[in-house]
Amino acid sequence: MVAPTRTSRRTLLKGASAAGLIATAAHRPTRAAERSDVIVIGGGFSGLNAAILLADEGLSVTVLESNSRVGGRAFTADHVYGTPEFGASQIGPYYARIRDMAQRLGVELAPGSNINAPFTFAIGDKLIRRDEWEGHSLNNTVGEERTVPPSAMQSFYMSRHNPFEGFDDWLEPEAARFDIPLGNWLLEKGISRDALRLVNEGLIAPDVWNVSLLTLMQEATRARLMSGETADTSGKDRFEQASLTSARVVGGTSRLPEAMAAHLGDAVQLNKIVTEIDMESGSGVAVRCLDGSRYEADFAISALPFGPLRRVSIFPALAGEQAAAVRHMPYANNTQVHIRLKGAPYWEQDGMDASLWTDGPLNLVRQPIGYDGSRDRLVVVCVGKKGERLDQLAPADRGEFVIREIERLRPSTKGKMEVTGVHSWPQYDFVSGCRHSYGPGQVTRFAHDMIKPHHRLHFAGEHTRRMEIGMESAMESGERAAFEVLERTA
Amino acid sequence: MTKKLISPTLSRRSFTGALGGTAALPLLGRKAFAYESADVIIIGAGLAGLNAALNLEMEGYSVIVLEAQNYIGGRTRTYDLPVGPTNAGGQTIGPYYARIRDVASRLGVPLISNPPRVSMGNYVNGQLVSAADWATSDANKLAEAEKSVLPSALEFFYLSRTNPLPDVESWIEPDQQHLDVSISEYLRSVGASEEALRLIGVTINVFDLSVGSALAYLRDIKRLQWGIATNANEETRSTYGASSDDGFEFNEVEGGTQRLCEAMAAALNGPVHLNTPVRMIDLSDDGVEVRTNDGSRYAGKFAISAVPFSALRNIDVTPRFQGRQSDAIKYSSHGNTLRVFMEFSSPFWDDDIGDPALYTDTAIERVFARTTEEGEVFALDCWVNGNAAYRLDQMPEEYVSAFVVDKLARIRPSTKGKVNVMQVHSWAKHSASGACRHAFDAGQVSQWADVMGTPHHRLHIAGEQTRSIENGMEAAAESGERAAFEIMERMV
Repeated sequence: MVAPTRTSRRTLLKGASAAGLIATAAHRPTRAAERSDVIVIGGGFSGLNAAILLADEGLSVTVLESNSRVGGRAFTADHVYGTPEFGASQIGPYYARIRDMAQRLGVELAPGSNINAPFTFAIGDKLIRRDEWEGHSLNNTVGEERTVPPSAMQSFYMSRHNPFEGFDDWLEPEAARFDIPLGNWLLEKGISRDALRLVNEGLIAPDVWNVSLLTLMQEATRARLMSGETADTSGKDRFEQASLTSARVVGGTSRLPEAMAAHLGDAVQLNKIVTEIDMESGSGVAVRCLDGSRYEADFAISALPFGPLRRVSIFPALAGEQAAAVRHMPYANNTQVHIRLKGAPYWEQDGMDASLWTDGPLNLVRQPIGYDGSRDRLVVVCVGKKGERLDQLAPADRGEFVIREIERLRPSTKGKMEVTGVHSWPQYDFVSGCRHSYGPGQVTRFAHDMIKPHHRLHFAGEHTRRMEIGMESAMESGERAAFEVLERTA
Repeated sequence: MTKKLISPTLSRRSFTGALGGTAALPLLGRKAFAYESADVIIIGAGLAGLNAALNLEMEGYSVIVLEAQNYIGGRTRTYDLPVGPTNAGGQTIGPYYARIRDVASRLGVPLISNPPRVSMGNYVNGQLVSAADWATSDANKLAEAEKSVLPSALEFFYLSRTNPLPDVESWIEPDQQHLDVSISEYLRSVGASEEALRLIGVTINVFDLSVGSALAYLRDIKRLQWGIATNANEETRSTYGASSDDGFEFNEVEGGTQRLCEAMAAALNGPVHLNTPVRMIDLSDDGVEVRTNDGSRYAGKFAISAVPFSALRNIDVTPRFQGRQSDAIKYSSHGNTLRVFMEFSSPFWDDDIGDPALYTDTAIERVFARTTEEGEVFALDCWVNGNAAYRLDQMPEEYVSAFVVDKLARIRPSTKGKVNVMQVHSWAKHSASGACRHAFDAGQVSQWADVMGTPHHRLHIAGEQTRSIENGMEAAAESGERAAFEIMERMV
């Protein structure tokens, strides 16, 4: 099933190395290696973007994707009712590379992404309307905090105290003083005990003590500087802000990486689980896969998350902080239960906003509003430790637990929910986490060293971002790695 | 789901004692959920947690055991397959597993002797070579001094004969910390060839040689050496050095190891709470409150964490762990093992090299042959560990079965069409903890080992990662016993 890689002008010029290949192949009669200029490992946005940029410059590329589909953490669940996005969905107003790529490949974008019904809060098991929160007896926050909805508490503190002006300020040496636990900083800023608890309940990280403030500041800066924050969007949490200013891929996010792969043609090889990257034995890079196939190139780009990259043997081995980063970079969790609603609208029955933000074992119960206005689904999202705990249950038991919990919190939902899909990013083959999440001190330790080329191996992937966030950061990282390789092949 | 307000497991002792600690805890709006109390809340119903529970109950203290998964036994797990009970986790009971042997005999759980082993052939460097022909084979690229050692025995060959630890306990001592380097660095320092390193990488049960700590591994090997006082036949012993064939008593639990854990759970005064992941542990000066994902609360004077660190790191513990102990809980590494249990239709080994079992330097690593007491081979057990297991885990499970069968047919054509997969079990995928065992990375023994098991306020830490000298199942039992004794001392 090994398709030949595309032969480009450039490969033809390199007849000498092709002859070398034949000699090598003679020693390995059972497995001839495929040869290209660059091997890209990983067919998500970062790997595909790197491959397209390299191919644009006339290099031959091979993309090895371990899964049976491309896209990585862009994953439209075509098999689940309502085709929800398991992963990336929002295209920010400033996602220039994503928008360019969509335009170039004729993939249609539409305004407005992931619009959800507003939240009702379930705090201490009591349902609280947003407008009741400020004066509610369970609101134990203090002073101005009282006016902030629990779901927006983190952005409330982050936006008013963010010291950064430029996109890459977070990488400057003086930024190291912010590479501390978010919780410590919030306490310094005078956050009340209960507000801190609310931040913790909604955090996409293990908890406020185990996430670096610095990485969150980078995101907040990027979002603030070009988010199109307007009068309409202030006071809303970051999901709500994004839904008002973002775009989406028509037909689902997966359509964009699929179009990118189609553009690359048979250079993209699916079901190729890489086991070894060998830069010791020959003059270039030899990449071996679990199925026994072998690929050779002058350079390789790892566009894998560090979870899967940990399982790849690299010769010579990575060393120092780079090795530590690959091995120990924490990944944030995100586990979801998708639900189809039946019967009369429960939110009309109890007269409260349809989505729920809870301080219980679930984070969010969001009601996505279909682009046709339909409101017949819910998606339950558990992040951080809440996700890890839910994942301890067998997948079938998760749905049951979630339904029981929602029915308990909100009796009007009773008997109206049916589980249509369960998805856990840490448990999903080939990915092992929804996004990188620096622990305190790790930006300083890892951010610079971990993206340095290791012999002929370059690093891409959202975790190597410099300026961007979300899908755009994956594209940015692929572009950087491609340029690094181009400089060396010039 | 309304549960009782006060557990029937409450003993006289805790009933009089616990009130002071629990009366102050508010019920808030959660009246609909269980609110139980006992002297000690134990998190995790594996061997460590169950042994702690039994020890505490024997002394008259009451316990509540909470288990996240839907079965008892943690990393002992037995499948009932067509060929009979099959252990995916803990199995062999070493001659010196005093606690395991003691609890089995107390509870009347019968042990059977470990069946005899059969010879293990090799598929190395693209060639199928019998155990008998290995020393002189072309496929044998080992250095001269290593050539006569079977690939499956190289690990023990090097780590036992060169083991510099004077005794098991000394692994924690400052003067041994220079051994807290990677296993590959250690092996090179004692003269192992690069080919030997490559072949040892197959059998060793850590992430990989360049990551795992030599010191931690030497501790385990020392315990084995000490426990069985082995000296003869080192070169030909397989990974764990000795078997019943050498005259030592190795056993297994009749019906599977999980039966022992179930018997331990049944011997407790109250039921183990299954499907109950813990969400929070609140520690105060006079008590502990444990809150589970379903909203229930459990109050105790003390608590024991008997879960792997990979699970403990997901529980909100207040006050938080600090310093090196916190780092150990957050960042400890874990090994993985993938098992593929297979049946076969005819003795294929008679058609090639004659050895039923096979060591390979391929992605499927080793295929063991399971035998009856009489030595008759009745099933196969593909055993992949460390990094290689994580790689196979990336494939959906049904692909893993097909992959192993295909690969085996390619490297050993006599198996073609004769092998069928009954069960796949990956510890990383099929357990709440996502791991088969804790494994120190190089450097981490020095950084963490002395503080990992230190009590944190009223929370005591058990689990095999906190073992001091034992290994295997005995290490879990040892850790549970220690935690129970620590608490008893504080309660008198």
